[in-house]
Amino acid sequence: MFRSVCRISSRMAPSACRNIVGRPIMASSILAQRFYSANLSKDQVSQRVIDVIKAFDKNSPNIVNKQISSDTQFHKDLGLDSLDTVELLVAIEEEFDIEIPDKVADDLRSVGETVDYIASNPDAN
Amino acid sequence: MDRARVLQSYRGLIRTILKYERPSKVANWVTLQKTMITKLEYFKKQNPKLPHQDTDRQLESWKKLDPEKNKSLNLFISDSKQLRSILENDLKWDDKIAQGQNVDGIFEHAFDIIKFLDSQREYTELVDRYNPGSKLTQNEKIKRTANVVGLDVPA
Repeated sequence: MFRSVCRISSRMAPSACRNIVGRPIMASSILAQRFYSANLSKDQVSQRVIDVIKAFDKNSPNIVNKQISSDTQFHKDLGLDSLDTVELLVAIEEEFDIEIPDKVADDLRSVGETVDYIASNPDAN
Repeated sequence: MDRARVLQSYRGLIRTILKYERPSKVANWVTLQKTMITKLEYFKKQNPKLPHQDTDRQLESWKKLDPEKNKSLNLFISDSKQLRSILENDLKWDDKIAQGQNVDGIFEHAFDIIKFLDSQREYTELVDRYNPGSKLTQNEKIKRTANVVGLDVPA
């Protein structure tokens, strides 16, 4: 009985049904995620972090033209205040699908530190 | 102490608002993108004699935009300035602290907002998940209904 319901709803919305019935699909997607995160190298991480920073042009349009390296400090070099930094870190969290705990996030002051933290986080992908 | 709490609640608010507003924001931008492309192409057809370098450039940039992948759209909230200004001006921290008032209420309020928005988002997601057909257009519904009994809608 339930199978027929699921067959109908899988036609309706494959993505919604996958979570309910498609156990093999789900398992393989978890597996794929693991493989991917294991492959996350530091260069990839820093490139993506820099992309996120470049996309953050609302408050300070001069960020786009700046050279960003791992030594770049959020406050000193990019001119972000503490609230801007919070916003940027949340964006980076979203990009890598992780949540940086408050204590760690308050101590992240430069691009390099952030990249190190993300590279050391097994959940990042 | 208070600084850490302010940052903590600000971070929570940004996180939550970002997740909360993203689906509708992306949808709005997809619609806007379609409208703009149609408008520009119509303008080009209407005025075949004009030079169209500028229109072409605009068209190009609109076509290149991918609202689902664009980092500025997906990773940052659209109006953080307003949130900042509430935090910096409307709350009047310094007055309250100078008068010896308790500021715990403000934090509690912020965490209430976070909880509310999170629950609201989750509720919407669940409603969508349990009503898989609710977002389909009428034509799609008819097509799928016909499919259930093994029929195809004529193209």
